[in-house]
Amino acid sequence: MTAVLVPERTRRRLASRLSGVGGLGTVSAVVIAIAAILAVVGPWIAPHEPNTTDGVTLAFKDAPGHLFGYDANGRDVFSRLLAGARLSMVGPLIVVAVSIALGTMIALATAWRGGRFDSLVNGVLDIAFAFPGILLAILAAATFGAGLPAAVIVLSIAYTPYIARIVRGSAIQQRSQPYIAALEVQGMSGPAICRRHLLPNVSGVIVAQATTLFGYAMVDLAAISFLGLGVQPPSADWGVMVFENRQGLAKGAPWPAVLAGLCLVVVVIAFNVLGERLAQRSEPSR
Amino acid sequence: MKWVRWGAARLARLVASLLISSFVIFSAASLAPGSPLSTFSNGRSLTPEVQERLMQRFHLDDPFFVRYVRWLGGVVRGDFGISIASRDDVSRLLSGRIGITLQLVLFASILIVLIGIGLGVLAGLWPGAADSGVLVITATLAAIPAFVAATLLTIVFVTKLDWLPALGEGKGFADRIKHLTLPAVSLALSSVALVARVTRTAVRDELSREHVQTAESRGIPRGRLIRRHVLRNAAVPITTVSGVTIASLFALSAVVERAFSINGLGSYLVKAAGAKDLAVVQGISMVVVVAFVLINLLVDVLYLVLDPRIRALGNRR
Repeated sequence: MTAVLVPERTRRRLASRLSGVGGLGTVSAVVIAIAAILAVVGPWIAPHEPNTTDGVTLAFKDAPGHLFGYDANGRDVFSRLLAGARLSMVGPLIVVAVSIALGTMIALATAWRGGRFDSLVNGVLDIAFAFPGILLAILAAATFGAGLPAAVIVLSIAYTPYIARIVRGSAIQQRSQPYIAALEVQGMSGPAICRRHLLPNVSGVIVAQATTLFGYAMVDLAAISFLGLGVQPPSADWGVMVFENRQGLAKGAPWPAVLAGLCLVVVVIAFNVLGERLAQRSEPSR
Repeated sequence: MKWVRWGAARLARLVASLLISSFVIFSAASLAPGSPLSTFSNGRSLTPEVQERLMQRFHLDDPFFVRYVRWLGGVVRGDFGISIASRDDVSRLLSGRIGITLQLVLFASILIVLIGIGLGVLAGLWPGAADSGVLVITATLAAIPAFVAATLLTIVFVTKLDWLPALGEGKGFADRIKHLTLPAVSLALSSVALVARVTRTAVRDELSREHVQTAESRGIPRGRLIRRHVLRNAAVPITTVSGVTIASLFALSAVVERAFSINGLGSYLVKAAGAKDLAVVQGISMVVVVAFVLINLLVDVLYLVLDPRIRALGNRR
């Protein structure tokens, strides 16, 4: 079916993108793709309204038409998981996009200029490492009020030095290659070499880091939501769902909390494994 | 003399990062929109006279930099100011809660070091079944967030088996250990995985080094070979990763304390952030950053002990 639907060129490009990540890596990519698709189409396939209480269900303690049952407030767990997929993944997506963009710019600039500028920027980044992301997010919540936007902005900043350091390492390696010197001799401008030659050559490292970072960001944002400082109820990402269904653990209704936790763990494992494989592939020495 | 210079440089870096962190913490909390007195009045409107008296009492009229310097001066002396929300000394509020958090972090650190390094050495020394088993287990553990671990552990050990208590802190030593076991395991889990993976790689790398193979061919017994040649050299990366993960536990303990209703610094920080109790947020954030910086200093000192080459480098500077 899919073979017919996906054009030949796209399929071949996808295959080449995934080549070298191995069987486990491919499985991880498929898991991520499914989660992403569910996050996008979730609202259309959700059987129920995720945030409204079903009074009948709650009154009769019966769950016809609820695939994964209902929570303590009589809300459909499956629909909430789907809505949660979107909220759990849109935050990390923004965090990764912003911190990769900022981190890569810093890395290319410092690797290109080198010297005192490089060591100054690195000193600042070193100090920024002293701040655990979660602490920064709690500070932001105290300042600007709890909510997903503040957490996303703060984590984007907290992850930037991490990206900058790793990309800088591999950009410096490329910087010393003869082809860069050749381009400089030809009179090509620094920014142009960075954009057209340096950037494509470190893109493998960037893609691997982005993948791993997505998993970290998912865990951190879910933890912030679990603390009550991220996504605000009645909306729910998977972190909120674990927290609000905690009472059920003692009352013999553990499933809503467990399912939300499992969704998170499965997707995060997929990102971790794929990120690791991509990193191995981008290291030419191994 | 060179030792003194190395120490001075390290100390200067430490003070610089503490100063910058303190500035970030203080200015972040001061950026908060709305009057800090609103937590005091609970939304009631205050008469202008009362408002002025309060502004004076909490020095809210002073310029930003003056307030920062006064706050920092207090922090250095262990005085974190007064919580406007609870009208109590922040230092007193914190000292009642720091003990349980320290115990939790210490417990988790012991687990991380013992189990993490143990699993890593096991996997590094015995390729094959032990190695792939550890790899699969750690890949899974690394992806389990502390609050999900707390949920799953509660289901197994509290609801199903009824071995351990679900909530609270417990009284007396044995009861405290019992109450802190699940929180400490939840806190340690993903770090155990990380430490195990790094340890495995470090042991693997050392085993394939030429000096180890030479030592082996000279007939040095395997036990001594592993202790003196492999583990000694693998100790540096292992110390690095252990230090980094343990330093982050103080911030992460907020999650675990909330999951197990433990009344420590972390859960108090979250509560204070929600209630906009800014003096408490500033105080606890500062404690967390200081702990982070001190653990990193400890790691640097350990490097000196473990690796003579770094000692030599310090001398040359």
